[in-house]
Amino acid sequence: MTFVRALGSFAFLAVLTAPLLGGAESLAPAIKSDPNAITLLRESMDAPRRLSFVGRMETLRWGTRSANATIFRVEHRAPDLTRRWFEAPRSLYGDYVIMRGITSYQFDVRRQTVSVSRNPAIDELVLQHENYGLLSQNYGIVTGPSENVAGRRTLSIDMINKYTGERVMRVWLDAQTHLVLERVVYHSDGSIASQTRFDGLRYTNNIPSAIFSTQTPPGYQVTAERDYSKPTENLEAVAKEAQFTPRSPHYLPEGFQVISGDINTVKGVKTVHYLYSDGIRSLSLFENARNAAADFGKLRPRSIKFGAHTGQYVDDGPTTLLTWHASGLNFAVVGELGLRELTKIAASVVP
Amino acid sequence: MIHTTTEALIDYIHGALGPEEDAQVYSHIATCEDCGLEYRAEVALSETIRAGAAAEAREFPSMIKANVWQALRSEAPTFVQRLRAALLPAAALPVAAAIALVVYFNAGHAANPPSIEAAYYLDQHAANQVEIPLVDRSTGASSQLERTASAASENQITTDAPAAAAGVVNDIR
Repeated sequence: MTFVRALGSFAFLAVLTAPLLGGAESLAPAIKSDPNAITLLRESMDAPRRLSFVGRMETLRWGTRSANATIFRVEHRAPDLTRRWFEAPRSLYGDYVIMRGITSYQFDVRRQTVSVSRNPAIDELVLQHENYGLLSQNYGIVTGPSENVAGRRTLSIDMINKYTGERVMRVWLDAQTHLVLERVVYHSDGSIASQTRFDGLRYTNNIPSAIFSTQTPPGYQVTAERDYSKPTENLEAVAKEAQFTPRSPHYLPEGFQVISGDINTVKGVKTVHYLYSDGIRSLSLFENARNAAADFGKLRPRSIKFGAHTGQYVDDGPTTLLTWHASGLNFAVVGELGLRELTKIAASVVP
Repeated sequence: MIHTTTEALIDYIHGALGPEEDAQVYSHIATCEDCGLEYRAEVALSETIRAGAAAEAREFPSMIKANVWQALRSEAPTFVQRLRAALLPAAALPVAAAIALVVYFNAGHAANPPSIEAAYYLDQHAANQVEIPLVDRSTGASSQLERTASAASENQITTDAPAAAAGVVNDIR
């Protein structure tokens, strides 16, 4: 089922994607994708479903003023059992996360708590593969230099934005198995936004089942359970269920389109969520009609003026959350596009 | 790093800044030792001045007050005033009850306006990113734990200007 068919209404699609259609092709530089790179990339998407491994990984996420770093051991048994055991930072040391299919269990050893969440989006393989089409539509997929990562020979693949000519992502695939061993995402100015890299890796089919046990340890309390709603391509149904008329941005970066929507009731407040993407980068737009503003808790939001609005924003690594109120609705956008781009998008929601 | 001026600090203490500048000063004095010191010194100075002014405040001489009260009491109430005084308690009770109810319900709403935690937005965004090809499927699963660590500032490498100048880190956006 294609995105358009699932949507069931060309008119509604037109409203949500109208700003994206005009002139999208006009600036597109001629970037030709390499057929071999396309095949490799497709195979890499399914690699964790067929490969079991143990290793050590490092993640780095850079924000405007700070960077978040973690190091964890990872055990993965195909197709869908994963455990991450944190070694750094010290405040996470010993904490671990176990994923069994769509359910994840976060064990906090200091607080002796377990948080459980279920995310049906993980199982949306069709959606992921459809969105691969979006990626290949908006990005040139070309092979890059070969390097060694975690002691294994890799093939690197660059994804070049067809509209701007900028490299947005580079992945290093295991030359034998095509598992992604390193992934780097770049900002529009070429600087690195985030990096995930294997420090060590060993393929094995002998990972004991006990590793993935989700039994609550003695003395631990299950503190929070969260069920994420299942995303849908039927945006008309989302709008209908919202019981108010959701707004959509009149401006989005080239190549972006809405790919799914969902509704959650948070503290009794019906909240609409649309996810926009160009196949690599993404942006979330949240709306509610109950005048429910964002509670920043211990975060320190900053005020910002954009268009006719005043909003508040915080950075979480490379991710920015921007909230504002307009026309009786409360809005929030979340994305890794940078504050300047986010405010431009936000200003176009209620111009 | 641009330091906060003394004038801006004084305006900040007295709530006279606009929201954007107020937020900037708020975040700056939390991280800048020098400006934090100056802020505390200005707060202490303001408090000293207020305390001094309060100590020097004088009351009217008791004789003047007594004469004013005497003049008020000496005026005999009219018939209408006496009638109003007699009926006032009977009318005041239901009116007061109605006002109390309105205040109670309004205060209840004002005290608990609906709000949505910022973490909800960040978690939901991270959770739905698994729809994007090449995104690590465990993205979002550990986001809450990692945010806790970020709040503790233990996995944060600050990239302020001096550090960037020293070549340790760079401001990238």
